[in-house]
Amino acid sequence: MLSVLLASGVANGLIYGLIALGVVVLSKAANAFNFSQGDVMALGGFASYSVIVSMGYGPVAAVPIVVIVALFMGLLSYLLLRPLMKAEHAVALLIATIGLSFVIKGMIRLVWGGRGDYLAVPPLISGPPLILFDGKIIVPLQYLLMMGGALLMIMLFTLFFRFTRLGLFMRSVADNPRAAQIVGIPTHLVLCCAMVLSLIVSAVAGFLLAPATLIYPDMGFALFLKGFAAAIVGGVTSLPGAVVGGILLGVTELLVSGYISSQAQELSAFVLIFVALIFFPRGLFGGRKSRSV
Amino acid sequence: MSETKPSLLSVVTGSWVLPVFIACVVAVVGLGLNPYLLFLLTRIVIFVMLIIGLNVLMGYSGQLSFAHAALFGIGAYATGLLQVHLDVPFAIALCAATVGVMGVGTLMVLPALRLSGIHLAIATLAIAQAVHWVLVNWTSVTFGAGGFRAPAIRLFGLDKTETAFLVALVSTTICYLLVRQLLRTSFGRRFIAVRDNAVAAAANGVNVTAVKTMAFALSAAIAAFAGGLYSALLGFVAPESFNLEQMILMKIMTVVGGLGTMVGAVIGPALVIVLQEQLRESQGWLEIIFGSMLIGFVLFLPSGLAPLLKRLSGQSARTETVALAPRTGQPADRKPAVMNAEGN
Repeated sequence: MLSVLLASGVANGLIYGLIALGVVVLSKAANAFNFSQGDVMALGGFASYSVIVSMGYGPVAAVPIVVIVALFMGLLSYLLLRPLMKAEHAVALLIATIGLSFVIKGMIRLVWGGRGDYLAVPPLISGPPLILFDGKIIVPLQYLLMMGGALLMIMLFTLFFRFTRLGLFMRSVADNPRAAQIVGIPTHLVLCCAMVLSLIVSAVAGFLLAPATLIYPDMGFALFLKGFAAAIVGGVTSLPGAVVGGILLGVTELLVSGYISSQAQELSAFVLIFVALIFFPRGLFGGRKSRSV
Repeated sequence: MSETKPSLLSVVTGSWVLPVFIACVVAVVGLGLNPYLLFLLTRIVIFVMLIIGLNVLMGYSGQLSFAHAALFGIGAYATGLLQVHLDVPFAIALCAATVGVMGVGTLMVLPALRLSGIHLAIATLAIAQAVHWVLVNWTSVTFGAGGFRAPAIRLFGLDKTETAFLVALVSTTICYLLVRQLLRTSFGRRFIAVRDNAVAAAANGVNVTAVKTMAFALSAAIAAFAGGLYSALLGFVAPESFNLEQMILMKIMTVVGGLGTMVGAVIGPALVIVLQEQLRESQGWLEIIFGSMLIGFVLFLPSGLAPLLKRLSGQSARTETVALAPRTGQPADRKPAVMNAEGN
């Protein structure tokens, strides 16, 4: 029982970690939070549904479509919200992204059907589950794929930030936007990339999660909150912290649902957010600067 | 205000005469409407009261709280449940709920003392979701997701919607006048001082902790009172009337009307609720239109409709300094787009 809970907890947790990565990227570069991230995630799930179920292509074809949809949404959000992407407009930006989240949710509802429509995406992969240690640990292939995809994204992100010029720019803008601008770093480009990247990673998370759950237009916000909880637990500016926070949240949720009650599972994210914000505002991995409260 | 000579218009709008006159007109018109429109009007009146409270917190004190719908909900539940479980009369239940929620709302200041801005928003959001979870899952007391029937109130032989309408109208008018008066005193100006710069306010001898606590307590009490009236109006209380979507609608009402303006707290709910009725058929379009409205107002008209109306009516905005106070974190006379164009 424990091993099954742990395995699916880690798989869910990696998905939360992906959303948390999106939160961290945006907050690192732009000091902003985007409430519409969860809805773009839902959009990723719905786009993959269209490609796989409605058009009948394979899951591989869904990946570029999902990324393109997210790229488009990211550019659009950036162009729309650009005047607000400054530290002094943080609250206005937050409120505007709530509006954006409403718009995206409404569009999903209009395109993919009415309220309460639950759609099922077929599994991306089928086959016998992976059995480790003489059946002590059984991992369904779908979960394995989720974990693999999430890990791949996390690796790409880390490499991107460490080794590319744009990643370096992003780190410098996050560190000191004014100084970065003075030495000639294109801050607008960096902010745009942060927005796009955070939405791409969310949409891919939606694509990976869709087959493991049912998709519906309202799914986004709850998932965004969980990703946000993961990001906060990890310290809002740390990439590895986001992933660790995600896994922690995923495992906690599953343990709570397994040993206490399945209804209490939904509460764990909120409790975690609250405790982390009040008592550990720097999170597990956050540096000294990360406390912006 | 004493140094400038107030115009006739500002004497009328600034005193209690105009609000009471408008309330009388609304009462006469309202009682002549058909039941459906009267129900709608009563919803608007109750939400006006709620938004006045939210405005004290968000617009005047600059505390971005997402727990207001939850407090509204607790008020409605407490009023309804006290009547259902303990057979308490409506008036006593309403007062008890108001006092109780005021206590809960005061506790809400604890995170607000340590957090501000976005972090406070997220913390209160977590509280709100937790409250919603309790309403859904504590079935033995709250009757769970299905909700329960709240007793209606009847006075002077009127039917229940008419009674709720009159009670709501009278209390909203009183609430409007009291809060407006409060905000003009030094007590109210401390709210604004804390919003604009907490450190400077503290340096000038404002007790920031006390001011934040008062703002949370006041807005929570108003929310609970409105919630109790809402339960009497609906006759049916269920968790989905107080979920996050309702909270966002409240934010839209506040922003559309104008953060930190009393008139805005009247315009916002009226506009949003009427629009919501028009769009009832399509949830998708409703979300798209409200979402775009929120983005549009934040980007192009961050101070909302109330200052715009004031300018159109020719009244100098200076007569009421409170209304001119800038939104959180940005100068009043500049739109964000302009700041960006300067490339600063």
